[in-house]
Amino acid sequence: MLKRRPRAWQRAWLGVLALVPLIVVITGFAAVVFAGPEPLEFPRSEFPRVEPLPDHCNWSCHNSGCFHTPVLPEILAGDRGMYGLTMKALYRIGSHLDSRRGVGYGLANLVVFCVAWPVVTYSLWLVLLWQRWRLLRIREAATHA
Amino acid sequence: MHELAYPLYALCVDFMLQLAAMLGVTYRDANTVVLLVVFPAVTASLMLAVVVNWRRLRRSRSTSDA
Repeated sequence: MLKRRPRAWQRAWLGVLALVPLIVVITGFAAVVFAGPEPLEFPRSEFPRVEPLPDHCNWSCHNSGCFHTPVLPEILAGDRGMYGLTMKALYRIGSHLDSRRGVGYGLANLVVFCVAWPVVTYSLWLVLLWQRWRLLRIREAATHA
Repeated sequence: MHELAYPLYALCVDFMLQLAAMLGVTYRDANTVVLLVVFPAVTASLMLAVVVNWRRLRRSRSTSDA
């Protein structure tokens, strides 16, 4: 089989595609955090102690639990639904990371949702790009054979 | 470790609170949508695409070997 070298623009395009998820996620995250309606302090040295508001959520919903009625159904957002089960699982994982309950829970959140899961998802994206690249090369080689 | 983890965690909570306010839903809804619906859906779609392409690659290789 005749092997053809990939063109420069193809390699550049592959590089751009590899960066797309990072750019989208970071830009989206920053846009929501900094352009959102709530006042923001960054970096925070401690969790804000605020009074709960009747019409929308604030830090008290995180600190003391949210009393607002969720829009989503009980099976997703309820204490006995996916949300509640995930919280329990994170507390359990957190108990292995730090003896202080809240700290362990926070660390478990970061490890699962900010490190492990994104790494797996981004790795899948890179594998998918590599596969598409290989398929393209095979197809080109077949065309020029 | 905690010096880095603490502000990062707080920033993530701020993100969820901002998103909830923007969408007009609760903090719990925002968490559920992002972490239990969108995130798993993206990962599952990528897994499916990887499996489909892995099969295509295997078929292409066996065809070119023949």
